[in-house]
Amino acid sequence: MTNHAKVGGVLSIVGGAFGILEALWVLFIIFFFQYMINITDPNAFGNPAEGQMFFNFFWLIYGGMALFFAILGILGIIGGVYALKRKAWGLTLTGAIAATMTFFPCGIVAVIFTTMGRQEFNAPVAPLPATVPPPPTPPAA
Amino acid sequence: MTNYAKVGGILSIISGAFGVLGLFFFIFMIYLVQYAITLDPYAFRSPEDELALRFVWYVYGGLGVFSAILGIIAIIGGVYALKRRLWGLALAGSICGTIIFLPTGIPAIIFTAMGKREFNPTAAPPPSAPVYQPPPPPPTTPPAPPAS
Repeated sequence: MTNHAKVGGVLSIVGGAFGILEALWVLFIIFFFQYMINITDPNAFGNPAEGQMFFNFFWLIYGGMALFFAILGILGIIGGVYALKRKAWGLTLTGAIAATMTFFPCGIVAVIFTTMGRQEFNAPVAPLPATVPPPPTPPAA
Repeated sequence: MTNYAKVGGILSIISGAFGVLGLFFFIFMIYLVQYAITLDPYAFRSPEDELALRFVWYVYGGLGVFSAILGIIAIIGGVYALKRRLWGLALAGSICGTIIFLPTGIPAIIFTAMGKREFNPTAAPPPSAPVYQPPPPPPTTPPAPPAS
């Protein structure tokens, strides 16, 4: 048996980890920007109310980006874990595609390996337990 | 035989077409910027402004050429995928298509990778259950001459 699923899973997890890191980086940018503005010139955006409105808008945009990257990263990691377990090929491929959006080089290779390792996900299923035939019913009198 | 390679090739060609269209889009953007500048005869007159404009043209031109090169590679890879030849080039083309246009590039990669076996139609099939081979017939010996 080949190890394409395992390689794809590892790369998908790496791509997902990059997604989490990108989310943390975007959050850091938000805090850093707000901190620098407050230190250097608190009235940079006019009165405090307008400044607060600007920061709310900034939080909305960058917070959405962070959430987007975090979701993609989590999806990539979950897909990678499932690829290592060789279960749920569709979810694994979804995770690899999500990893493509967070970190292209790893994600593309993850998609290729996950696709090529599709047959590894069809492991032979354990046979069903032998069933005892029901006892013969006595003939009706 | 499945048709994964054909589907992947078509999707790759579509992505490549988007890349070639991207070249025209960036050329259009260059002319659009140039036209917008002519609307204000007093803008962009200093040598620094000319330099900035030249930089904009280089950026848009470079992006257009990059997009066109990726698109051509994607189209070539798609054509090879349709011919079911050179799986590596077909996969490279679909990757280039992904860089250009993700929604068709990702399925192109998936289908091209799934159709890898279609690229080796003459290869020997994988070993399966052993085929029954009848035992060779016993050697025929000429009848012995009658004892005298």
